[in-house]
Amino acid sequence: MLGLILAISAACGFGMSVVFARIGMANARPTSVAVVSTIAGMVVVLTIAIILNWTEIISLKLNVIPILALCGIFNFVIGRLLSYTGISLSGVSKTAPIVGTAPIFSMIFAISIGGENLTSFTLLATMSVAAGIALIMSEQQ
Amino acid sequence: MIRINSRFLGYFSALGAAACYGLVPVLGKLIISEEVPALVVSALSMFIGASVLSTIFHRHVWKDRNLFGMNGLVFCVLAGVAATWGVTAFYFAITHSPVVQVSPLIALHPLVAIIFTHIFLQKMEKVTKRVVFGAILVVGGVVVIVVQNLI
Repeated sequence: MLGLILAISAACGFGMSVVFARIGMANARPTSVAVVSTIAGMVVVLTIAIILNWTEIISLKLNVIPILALCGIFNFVIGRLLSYTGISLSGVSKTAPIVGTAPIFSMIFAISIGGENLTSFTLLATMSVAAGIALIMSEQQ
Repeated sequence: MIRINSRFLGYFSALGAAACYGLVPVLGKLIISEEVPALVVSALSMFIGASVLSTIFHRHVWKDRNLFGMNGLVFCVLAGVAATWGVTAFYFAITHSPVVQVSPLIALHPLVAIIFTHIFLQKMEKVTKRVVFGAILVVGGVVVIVVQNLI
């Protein structure tokens, strides 16, 4: 039960984050908002990680650093900048569902890089996602 | 000259963001193990991301410092803290419940964002029935894929 409550609160955290960012973007550029929000988040998560996983951090092998750097660049530099640019140009309600399609891209990468199989069920779900995006993009307001 | 509607530019930016966010778990899978917990990957990759972002865009922050105002700055900090809470709560959630139960709930976050937009951003944007229906289709498809990948 605790796990499910934490999962719902995580979804609320992600949902609130973009709403707060939109309010912050009322007078500032998405790039500035991305820098401030990433630094603020980094201070919190790094503190938690140091408290809970200090041993693992100091014993980190050097060969994982390039992948960590790639994760950081794709997630917090390119990803967050594009997400905030989308929010500033199209609004939260239209951008959030499109950004929420990330697992579809994970599946595409897993199939193309990891050699995983595509099932007819997955294809149907992808079509549902595509239809949803088309509906959102056709909104004129 | 090609003119692109700013609304569509926003949609394509969002799709680009989704592609980046989709690539991260595939990369993370290469290093996440018992020696490198997910929280450490998240914290250190965020440290690298924040360093790169602030190196490139620190001038934007400096120029916008007066435009932010105290309220704007507080909301930007809250945006970062809320996203971090999301990541941290997710890692704690998967230590208490199976991923197959946790991940579909996390995938609902676009609907949560729409509900909060409707509550808190009424003056800034209107949430239409078409957008809500589109979001339900997207989230439904994503939940199906997440569940199928985990079973």
